[in-house]
Amino acid sequence: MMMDKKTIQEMAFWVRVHIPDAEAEEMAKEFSETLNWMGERFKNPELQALKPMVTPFDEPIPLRDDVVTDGNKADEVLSNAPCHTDEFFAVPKMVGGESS
Amino acid sequence: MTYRITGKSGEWELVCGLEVHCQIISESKVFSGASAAFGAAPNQHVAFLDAGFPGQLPVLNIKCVEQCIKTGMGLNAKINKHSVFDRKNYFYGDLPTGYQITQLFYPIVGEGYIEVETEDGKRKIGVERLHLEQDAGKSIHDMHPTYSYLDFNRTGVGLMEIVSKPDIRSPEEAGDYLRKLRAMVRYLGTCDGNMDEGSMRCDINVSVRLVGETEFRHRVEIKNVNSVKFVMQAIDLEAHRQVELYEAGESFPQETRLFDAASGETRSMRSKENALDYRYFPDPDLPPLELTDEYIENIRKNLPELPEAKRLRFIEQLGLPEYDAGILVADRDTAAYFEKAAQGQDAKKVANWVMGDLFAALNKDCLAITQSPVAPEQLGALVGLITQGVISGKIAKEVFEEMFKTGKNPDVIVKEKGLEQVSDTGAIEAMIAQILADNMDKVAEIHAGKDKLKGWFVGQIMKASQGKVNPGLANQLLDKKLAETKA
Amino acid sequence: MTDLTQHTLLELKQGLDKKEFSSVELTQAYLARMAEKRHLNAYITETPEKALQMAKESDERRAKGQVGLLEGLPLSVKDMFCTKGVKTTAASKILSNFIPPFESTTTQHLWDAGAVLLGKTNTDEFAMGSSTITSYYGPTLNPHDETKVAGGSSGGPACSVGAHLCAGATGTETGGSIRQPASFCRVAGYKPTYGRCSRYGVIAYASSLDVPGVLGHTVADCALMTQVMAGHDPKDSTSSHRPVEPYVQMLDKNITGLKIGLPKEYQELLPDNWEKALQFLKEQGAELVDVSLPHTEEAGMVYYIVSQGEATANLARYDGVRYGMRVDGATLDEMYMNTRMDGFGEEVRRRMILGTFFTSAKGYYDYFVPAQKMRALIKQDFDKAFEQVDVLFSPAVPIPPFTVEEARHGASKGRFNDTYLMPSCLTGLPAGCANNGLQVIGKMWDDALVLKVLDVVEMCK
Repeated sequence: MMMDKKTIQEMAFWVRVHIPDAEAEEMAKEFSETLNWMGERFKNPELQALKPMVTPFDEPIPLRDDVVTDGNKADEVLSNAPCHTDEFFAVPKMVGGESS
Repeated sequence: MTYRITGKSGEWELVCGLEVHCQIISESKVFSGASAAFGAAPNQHVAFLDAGFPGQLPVLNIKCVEQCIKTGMGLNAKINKHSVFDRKNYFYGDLPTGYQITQLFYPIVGEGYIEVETEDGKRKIGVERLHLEQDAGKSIHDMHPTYSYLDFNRTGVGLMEIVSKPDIRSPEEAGDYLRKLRAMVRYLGTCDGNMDEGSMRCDINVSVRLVGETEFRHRVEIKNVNSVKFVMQAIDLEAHRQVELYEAGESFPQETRLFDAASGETRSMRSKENALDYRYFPDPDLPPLELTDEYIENIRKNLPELPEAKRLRFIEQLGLPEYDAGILVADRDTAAYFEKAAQGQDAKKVANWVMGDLFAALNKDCLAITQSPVAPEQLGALVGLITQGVISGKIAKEVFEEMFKTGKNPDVIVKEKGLEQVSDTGAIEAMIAQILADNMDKVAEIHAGKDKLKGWFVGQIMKASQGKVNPGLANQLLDKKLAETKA
Repeated sequence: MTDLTQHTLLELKQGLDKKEFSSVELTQAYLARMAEKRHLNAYITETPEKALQMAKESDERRAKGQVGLLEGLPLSVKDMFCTKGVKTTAASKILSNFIPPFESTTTQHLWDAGAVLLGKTNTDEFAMGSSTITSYYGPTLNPHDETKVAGGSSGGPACSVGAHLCAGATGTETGGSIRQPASFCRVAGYKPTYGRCSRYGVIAYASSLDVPGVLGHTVADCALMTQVMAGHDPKDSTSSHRPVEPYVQMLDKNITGLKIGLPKEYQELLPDNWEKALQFLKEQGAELVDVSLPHTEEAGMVYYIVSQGEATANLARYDGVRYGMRVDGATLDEMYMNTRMDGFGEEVRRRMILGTFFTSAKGYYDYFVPAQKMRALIKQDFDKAFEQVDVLFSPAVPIPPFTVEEARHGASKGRFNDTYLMPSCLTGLPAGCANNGLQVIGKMWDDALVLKVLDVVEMCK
């Protein structure tokens, strides 16, 4: 798997950070090597029959009763917000639909 | 009539699928203990989890799981005993955690179908899946010139996303699919189905192809269309737009478009080139959901009767015509009303009253059937009075109007107003004798063979009795009296 | 007792019980020493007023005969645990002004048991690192050699214990973050079974790996704190319902007949005390058995993929909207970008970018899923080993601490830094290291046994 600068920068945008050209170039080079190395390891035939392990936790999911136990604390919810009104969080005007 | 778009290059057919988001009816949110109710002050129904605070963890609401299973049963679908929650990652103001918890790889409900009816008959529209996920928050753009305001009351309310197969071939089928789905979730009490309030929302996938083609051409997604009528409109519009573009030899992108109800147009939102990679992966905060057969069967046992089963029962057991049964089951509340009213009464007559006078009166006052001033038992009693011959159908209409106005029982009104049918033949005969005596010229004409005049006499009798005489009886006694005058 | 700060947690507990000193006196002693040793940079936030208030209340409770398991004992809390009303930063600029309106479950358990909060300790930013050099608040120094790092990410907690700036500390471990700094600072560190201690209120790095745990002067100290912190929490869906055992009582120093496995892959580089320790364990009646964990090497890359993939999603919420800092922008995306560029350090940004790839359409099937399968394979290694033995024994970190400079040039990426630690993180197994740098790993939920063996291991100096 070869990474290039463009892919690195695209991924950076996905997580809303910026990475300058030179750094992205370097990261791409280093990352490509890592990916190739890992790719080789993943050719291990032992893996095929295995189920992916998502978590070490082995108990069933707990289910909560449908009762209201939380909320009604808008003041606390808003207390840390860098920009807010008495009722709302405020952000720079959103335009268009869902962003990428 | 098969839906086709005729172009220069031939006949085009529609290929359409719907993704419907249904807000789950529950007290609390799907992963937090905050209320799921509408109408609170901004950010009041918000737990720290809903606002995406660090260190907050999701805990699944059992009610939301049950609601999905019920709805899955309504879709005639397979309930998956093993399902998994995934994170769907993207940045947006209304998504506080930066990911939505949903089910991509292993949804709680698998394949099923909804049967639709159009002029062409019945067809099964396949359902691909139903999965459980979180709703997003609300952004408000018109309260400040440069800021958008965010309210997370809706964030984390449970949603069922129901994805159809691309089986829909006409806007009418899409419309009926939605209506059937809406009736079903309302029956089950899993979603209130109100599209205009956003508790049921629809994304549409539209493509077209020349009749005979087996492959799918690329599709356009239309987001958030908020009524059945608009869904049908948007599909028709988009199908024609695509045919025109193909016919003109123009290419168009695989994209997402927004429907603008005001202009009746769709406009581009984003194209495939900057399509999103949602980077789904299983949420490590939530172990897989494992259901037992026993648990699922217990829900099935307690499932209310679904519209289709009810429709068949109305036809077979109550002897209703197909048309009546279809109308009465379309809405759960109407069906419930009808069933109560029809208890021990002539079902067909009750159906006529519900679909006729009751619907008209409710419509006029903009009332839902659950708000009807006439209780179902009262309507049943009214029909009973007609059947027993206590009042005539005509009088019954008058009684009904009074019932609707006052909420009084029909027998009370009949008594108060003295509306019982007169069945004392002696009294009626005396009344007829009087009328005949006053109109001997007309009696003579009848004897001369002008039989039509009998109708006029019946009218006079009804008028004199203020409609209280049973018309059959009136006819019978008139004949008897006329015969006497002849003799 | 002359200098109150030079004792173990259990010794101090006894001293308080015998009324040799009060919690206020003890707390004052620690606060004075914290001020004296501030240059070590163990704490991000010191909470002297709150500490004295809590100590005073503890003394009052004690006077009334209400004595919790940690009554009056002053502890430090890693700045990854949300503490209500006390600034919690994850050592990141992006949370530099965050005051949580809620308390983490595990710290709540500490306060319920009577403990006193001295302050919030330093860590690598969002616990990403093993030298505490990625902290926005600067590196934490090693209390035994101030030219060296304290390790990480629980560098602050390890230093706070090692330099006697608290009686005990909470830490978190994702890929060795308790045991590595404990080893560097010559203190004991314990990572309970995944699911034993609630993650509610602990700032997430990689959710399937993050484990709240403890650092103390001795294993026994760790056992006591773990016992208090552990327990089912309905607010965490990955919190176990299994009952918590009285770990301290179970430290009976008896390991006769116990089968202790020695993974051959964990013996490539051995510390000086290794042979002596083996001899000691045999003398104590344990049976030493050679075992193999063949996929030890692979743990590093599995960790790399899984932790970065999960972290990317966990860190998306820091967007300048609801808490933390914001750098404004003309559009929402611009605000996100400005805030996250300024708020996150380079290492965190880098891990997020790479994590994005592993969960992307391109990376998910080729890397993320194979990594999860490899994780299952590593678990199989342990399952097989535990068919033969009761616990595993090895060095924790067979190398000495490095300097800040060395750390900046990637010393922590060296193979011996966390090779013996990561496999037990991926598998959620209970594992700890004694204050002599030797570690014990056990089966899932075998916390009591691991602590007991560690307690014996620690006797070997």
